[in-house]
Amino acid sequence: MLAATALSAQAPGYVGKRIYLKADAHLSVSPGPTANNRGRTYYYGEEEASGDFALDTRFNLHAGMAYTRMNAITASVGYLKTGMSADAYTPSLLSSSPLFNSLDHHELFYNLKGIPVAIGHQWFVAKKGAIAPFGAYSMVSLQATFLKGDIIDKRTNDSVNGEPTTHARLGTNPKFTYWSAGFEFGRNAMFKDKLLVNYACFFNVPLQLGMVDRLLDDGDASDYPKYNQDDFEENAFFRMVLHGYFGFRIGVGLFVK
Amino acid sequence: MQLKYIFPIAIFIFAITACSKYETQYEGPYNDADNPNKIEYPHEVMVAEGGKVLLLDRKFNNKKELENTPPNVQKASINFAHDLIACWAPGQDIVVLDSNSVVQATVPNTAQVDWFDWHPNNQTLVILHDGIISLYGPDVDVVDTDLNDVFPSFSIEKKITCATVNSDGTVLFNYEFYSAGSYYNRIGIKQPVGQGLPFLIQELYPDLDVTWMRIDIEGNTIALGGPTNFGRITYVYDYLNFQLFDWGATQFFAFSPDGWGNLLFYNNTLEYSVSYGFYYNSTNAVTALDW
Repeated sequence: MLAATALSAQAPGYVGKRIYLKADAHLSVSPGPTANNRGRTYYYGEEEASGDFALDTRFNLHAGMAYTRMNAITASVGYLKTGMSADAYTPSLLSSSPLFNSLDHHELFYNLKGIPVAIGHQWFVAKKGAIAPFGAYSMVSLQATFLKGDIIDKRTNDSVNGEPTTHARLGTNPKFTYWSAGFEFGRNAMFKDKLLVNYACFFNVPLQLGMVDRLLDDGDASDYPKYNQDDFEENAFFRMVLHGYFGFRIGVGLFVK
Repeated sequence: MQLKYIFPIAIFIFAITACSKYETQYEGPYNDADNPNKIEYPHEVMVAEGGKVLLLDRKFNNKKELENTPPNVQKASINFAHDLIACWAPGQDIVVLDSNSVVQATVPNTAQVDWFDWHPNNQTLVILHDGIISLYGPDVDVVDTDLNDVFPSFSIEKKITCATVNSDGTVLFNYEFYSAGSYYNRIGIKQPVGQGLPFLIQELYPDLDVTWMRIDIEGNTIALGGPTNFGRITYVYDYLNFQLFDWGATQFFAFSPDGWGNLLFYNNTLEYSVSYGFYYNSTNAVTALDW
């Protein structure tokens, strides 16, 4: 009996539950435009810039498995959608020779869609009565967010008066992978031995520090289309830094096993 | 935080962040792959060169020669809509063609003309001969059709070289005469009642040998000149405010129909008044230019 008790005390899982599945939402106050140009920053501050309150959100499917009484590993996949503005330049289609290298300027608004994928590790806090995967925890995670941009609005300033809205291709591949590290403090609560409610606060930091240098470098607009691609990636990076830099997570799920 | 508060808070947050459809502010969605990456311009610029009528796009890299024109065309005009071209060869009536070289009309009794140009309605041809304006096409307002009353008494060598009519009936014309020991070369503008002075005059350089005249689509700006001289005059309704520019080397000029630069022709080269880098070099004598 003593041996059985000792073995039970070493076994992972609370009341025999080691694995949980949950759906959750990340919520953070948005410092920039959100999808469809809502939120605090409208397109170049024009057209009734309102400074509306908005939230950056992402939705995740999340799985966790306790492998000791105090530790669990997690994996998640999710979906996010937000917005950002960017610039692009193209040589005027009217330019017949390099001597007349005039550039059309394009102001773009993107809807950014992303698939965030993360793996993490949770430490449950014994002194607060936690037993993995139940109770208070802290967590670190490594996240990759695969972003794709769709231009939902554009304003082209032609370098030549009377030039129609047709212009040269931007030459961008509006995709970017954002890498970040997440830190989270929260609690998994249990109801009726099966239902899970999760709430937590988190913050994320970027891992691609080389992008900061690129952000500080204005680049050469005539270096087309590299400038356009760089500008997309830099703006996407910066938007993602601000997207979920600090916020809250709310989730519900089940202890399945 | 008690759990019973979490779900109402969550529902509230989701409600205020609910998606709403984007309202386009500028040009709307854009997909780079759908961009044709080139601009196709229609044939809009008309050049009478070597007795033939050519249509060019505004980049000059797409040339089309009109067929069914009279031989040896010397004067020609394209309307503002760029769908009708009138052309004239000495001793033959004016022929009107569309931009596909299909003859639309032959204007009777026009074997002798001094000048003709399209009215801004794009359908009426304004024809000048011996100081008399006649119209071919739908009726339009014209302040006066007989311009021969503008010459002073006892003047000689009287000549009205070019005339046109703008949309409110104002008649704009060039006339020359010799009087009291001097040659005179003038622009005359006969305005409708209520448009200010009924008759405006602007002196030009006497040696400006005017053989052509064009007005812009608003009818406020006139360009006129000849093979060796060029003058451009701007006037404002209700106010005698002429601005004269003398571009000595330019042989022909055509107004842009939109925000592009205007067209200049000199030294056998067609180019814009602002540098786009587009040139058209004529290989034969150019006798008319219009856009």
